[in-house]
Amino acid sequence: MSTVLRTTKECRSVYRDILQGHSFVSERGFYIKHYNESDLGYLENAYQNSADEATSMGFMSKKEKLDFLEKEDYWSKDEEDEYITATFSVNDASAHYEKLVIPEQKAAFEKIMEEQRKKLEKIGKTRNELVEPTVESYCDKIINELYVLRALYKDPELTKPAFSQEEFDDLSYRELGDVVRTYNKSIGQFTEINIKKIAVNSFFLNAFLMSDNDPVKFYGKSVLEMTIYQMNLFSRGKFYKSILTEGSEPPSEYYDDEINGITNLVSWFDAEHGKIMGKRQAQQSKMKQSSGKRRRR
Amino acid sequence: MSGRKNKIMKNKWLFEFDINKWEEVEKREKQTNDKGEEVEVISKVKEKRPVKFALRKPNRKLYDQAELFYGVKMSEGIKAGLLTRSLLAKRYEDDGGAFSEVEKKRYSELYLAIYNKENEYQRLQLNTDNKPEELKVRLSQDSLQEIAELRRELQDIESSQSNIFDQTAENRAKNQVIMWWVLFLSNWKEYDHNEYAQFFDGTNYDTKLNSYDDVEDSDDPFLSEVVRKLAYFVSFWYMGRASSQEDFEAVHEIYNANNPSEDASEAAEGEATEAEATADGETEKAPQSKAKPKAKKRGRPKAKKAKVATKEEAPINEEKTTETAASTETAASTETAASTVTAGVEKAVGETSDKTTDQEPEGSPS
Repeated sequence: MSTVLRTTKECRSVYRDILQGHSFVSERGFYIKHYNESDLGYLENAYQNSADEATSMGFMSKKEKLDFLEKEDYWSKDEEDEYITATFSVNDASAHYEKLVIPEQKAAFEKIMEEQRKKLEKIGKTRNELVEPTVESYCDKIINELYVLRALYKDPELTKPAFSQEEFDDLSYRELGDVVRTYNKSIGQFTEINIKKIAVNSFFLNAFLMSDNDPVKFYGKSVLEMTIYQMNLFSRGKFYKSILTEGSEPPSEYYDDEINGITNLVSWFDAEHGKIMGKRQAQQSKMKQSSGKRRRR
Repeated sequence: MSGRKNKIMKNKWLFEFDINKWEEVEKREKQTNDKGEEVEVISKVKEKRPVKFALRKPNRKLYDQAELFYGVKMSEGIKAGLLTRSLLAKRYEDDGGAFSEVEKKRYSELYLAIYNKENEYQRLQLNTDNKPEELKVRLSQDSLQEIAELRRELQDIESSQSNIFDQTAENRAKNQVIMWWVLFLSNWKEYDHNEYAQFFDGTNYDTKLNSYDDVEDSDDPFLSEVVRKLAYFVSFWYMGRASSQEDFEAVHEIYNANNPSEDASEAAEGEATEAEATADGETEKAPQSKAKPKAKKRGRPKAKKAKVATKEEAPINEEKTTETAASTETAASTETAASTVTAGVEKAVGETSDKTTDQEPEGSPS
């Protein structure tokens, strides 16, 4: 459910969110917090607590459960493999379907997808009755909900949670599905490729080059307070700066191309990086060769 | 049941109903005695007081917890050596099926016999050979009786077959999950409280179960009636037979039809006590009521052998909802459900909840 950024305007909008440390979803009125390391640590801690709780409730880990079920002839390794294959097939098919453009191709592929889905549903139902719940599935469920609950706020200062725990628990599955979709859609803007796209833009690079590789200077706050996206963007800035300091410059026409310019710029930086790495490797091997010769003399 | 602090603030209820409680109250009357003096006669009389109960409409969290509970109990069952339904079916299949050869033969004989008898009955109705009306009626009645007997035998065989599947890991887990729902959905307004509070004390299954046991162990007929009704209604809801106030009211009527004596006997007793008190009006205190009729003890909701053949048990519906469970069943099917759930929750399982699907959260957060 990731968003693909194409234009400078789109990049600028997402860049603004990164700088703010939150995104605003106007149709729901949610402010979505961008997590920092401390938040992730909290969630990791919650996962551990859930795992302890699950173990005390009598849950087995996935591995323990599968081993037990195989030993007792309930669910063999072959059946588990079949389930995993079916899951991969459905995921691959969905990914392939997303790439299709021609309606006839899409329609034809839908049938294949439906068959695969049915197969997975059949095997998955039996499997879930036997294998689930496990410590992992229990914790994943808890953490996924916590992830969303702790990210949504009513105010830009991120002080008033959008839902109290009770309100969140009262959400129906459909309502929770809508909230999760909203969250995923918003967070889907901050993919690695989109951060790369933002980082190649002059509105970012110009400011970055003035910060002397100092994130505190750039964001004006402690490194510990920075969100994961802010840190990722900063690292990317450093990387691109290192390429530019090698002396190469991207073709100026890329900056004027509204449609493909950003994508081309990312490709150019990647290609330049490849070239630089190639040069360095060649230099290193040359140095090795010459030092070997010296030793032989 | 004192000290129930876990009050539910949200007014979202599946079903609200009253259970009458007979309480002794002092009745003061001014009367004139033989000497012409005015005296105050205090008598103890039994008065009916409706106590409010409600089944909480479960939210998503509760559905999740119930599902987890089911999963844990299922695992426990498997670990303890219980077979799953599919594995049991597979093993019977490998052994040539759940029927013995004699049963198989008898089963097909019965089917054929019913078919023949039904044909015979239809021919009689058409009366092609012009039998006298009296003879026709008599023969028709005989045919119907024979058909009923054959059907009963057929059902017995089917029932014995379905009972084989009673002791599966799924069934055990389902029975326990019904108990779980009873413990977590039951609320009441104790002593005219304005807000509902949980009926069973405790925050988790074990503590609530202890509270349930305390209620069960008390010989209070009111509490016995409460537990019986709660289990009855929750079972209907779990089976997808009731989801709205109206559905539950219909179920309540079925319950009352199946248990007509409860309130009536107590009412009669109450009246008797009152009458007694009036008769002994001269005394300061009326005699205490006689021993109350002991309410039947029910035990925890669990699957027992059904007296009628029930549908083949379907696996538990994985689809969850926080909306009301659908109740599209006809009155006839509700009757069937009622007959399988007589006396509390005798056959609480064996049906799949027909809840409206309310989709699972799509995917997990990125």
